Amino acid sequence: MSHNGIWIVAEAAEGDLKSISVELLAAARPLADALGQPVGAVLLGHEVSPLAQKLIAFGADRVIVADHAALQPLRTEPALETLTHVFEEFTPEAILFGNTPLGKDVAGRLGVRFGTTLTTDCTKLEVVEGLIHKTHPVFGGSNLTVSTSEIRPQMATIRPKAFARGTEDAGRSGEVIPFAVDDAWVTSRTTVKDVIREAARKLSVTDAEIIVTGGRGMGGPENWHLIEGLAAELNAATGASRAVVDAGWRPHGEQVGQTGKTVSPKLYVACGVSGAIQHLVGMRSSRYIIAINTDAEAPIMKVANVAIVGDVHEVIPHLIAEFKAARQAAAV
Amino acid sequence: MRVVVCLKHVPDTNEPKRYDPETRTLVREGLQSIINPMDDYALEQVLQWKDSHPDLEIVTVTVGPEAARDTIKKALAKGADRAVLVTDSRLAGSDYLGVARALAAAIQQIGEVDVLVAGVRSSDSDTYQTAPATAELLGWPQVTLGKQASLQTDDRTVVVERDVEGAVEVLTVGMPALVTIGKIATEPRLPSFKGIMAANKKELKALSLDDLGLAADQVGAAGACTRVVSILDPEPRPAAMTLTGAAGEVSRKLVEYLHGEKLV
Repeated sequence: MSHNGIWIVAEAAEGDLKSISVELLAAARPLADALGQPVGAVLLGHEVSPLAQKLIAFGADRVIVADHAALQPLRTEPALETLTHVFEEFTPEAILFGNTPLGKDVAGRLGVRFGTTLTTDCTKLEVVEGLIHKTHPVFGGSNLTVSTSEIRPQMATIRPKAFARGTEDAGRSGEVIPFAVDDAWVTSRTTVKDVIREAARKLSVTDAEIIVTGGRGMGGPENWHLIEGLAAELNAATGASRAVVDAGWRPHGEQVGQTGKTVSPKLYVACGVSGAIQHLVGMRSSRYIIAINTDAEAPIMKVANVAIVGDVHEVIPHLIAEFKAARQAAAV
Repeated sequence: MRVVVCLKHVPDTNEPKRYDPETRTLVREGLQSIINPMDDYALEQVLQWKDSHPDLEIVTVTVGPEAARDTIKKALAKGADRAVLVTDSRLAGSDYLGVARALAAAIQQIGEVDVLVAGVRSSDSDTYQTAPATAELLGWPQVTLGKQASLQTDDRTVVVERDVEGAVEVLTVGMPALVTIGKIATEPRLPSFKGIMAANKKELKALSLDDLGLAADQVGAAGACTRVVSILDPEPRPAAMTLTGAAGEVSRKLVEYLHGEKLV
């Protein structure tokens, strides 16, 4: 059986593609071009077919739309069963997932079914002599391993925000293929009791392009208006160090580091964070790092692009004022 | 009721790592090792279940080197009842599927298991996939990324709270099932002196591939689907531009820099 196409598993929410879908297409397109193969996208959900054209506009050549009421919201077992059937039929060269809750739940189990394994949380993918070389940070990014596989399909999950989004070309053409979903595939042994949206936390650290993180140097939860004020100016998510979460100042969902989230934003602003190794492993692949700390020798200052030696309580209000002024000047 | 907890023996995050240039595998000699931090939270969650259900049996299962015994003893000292260590030189170089095959085979030997609990990920290879692959081999459902899980013995379910993309989901899964646990609200307990003494009398059973009926080509480097091409150091970060002085002045310079780099 011939294996063909670099396939991505797209994700959608609230009637739109999630950013990871566009990032997956940006990762897949150069691989497909190097191998002379098409890019396929699988879209699972309910009433999601209007999003197929957007996947094409961002680089997909063919889009499989598996539409079923029970695929919204998407749960592990229905996703796994449906994807198994899709990929049995379309026999990919490679399958890419986001290293998202869906990818973490489904990709490894799908690999077991196809007798292959995947490389997870990849930060770079390239074709070398016809094989996909996958770069994956280990030990929290203290080393990078490059691995490859002769077994098809080759599989990987990609780190959110590690691949720059491509540009949208509304005129691009591609094929949309509806895929009938059998009721038997979408049963689940897991039931949803409740979903609690954290309204105050609009943007999560794993989704944000910019993160403003506060550490113990912030002094106390009463000073968090500074972190929130700066984050609001930058349209950023707010993050927290482990010390701050353990002290109960911030919820664990905001924690960046070994026992929290691993993030790779465009810009990471660390305020009063000393930068213990357990924190650095969660954020050192950020593209730009700004650190504000009174201690010029703190480990965070060594990984920063810009290290501000100063007191967060003095510097952040000035920063907020500067951004406000710049924004108002731009608006005039 | 019986709960199995997966424990991985991992190098301490603070330790510098060295790789064998030939095999491209980690040189473990001389490395300080610890219980994978997420597995320690998973164990703590299960110990809390046992606090309120004393008849619950906790069995830990580890795939790793002989040296993992030290890690396992700590778990026994904290309150796990018995332990299984799958150790075999032919396991070296396993990818997560090889480890999952060994775990699944070991779990099947333990007898009837109601819940399998593991940390959401390991601090070394960081794949998130070993436990789900094990559940796939066992044919069990899973709930991953848990931050709190409660055992419902009456209807044989586990209720799991998980953090996903700006929301907390509460899911119920029927037994047998896999639950993966990340950081929970309480820090892992320390073993008591009594616990340490008791641990020496608890069963720690070592199993080889032959004991599990696994062929050497299903695990280890021989069974791995991926091969490592190279191991690189991360690209060095550019030297920091250090700004010192009055808060107003450094703020103005930073904003200028961010505009210059088109970051804001």
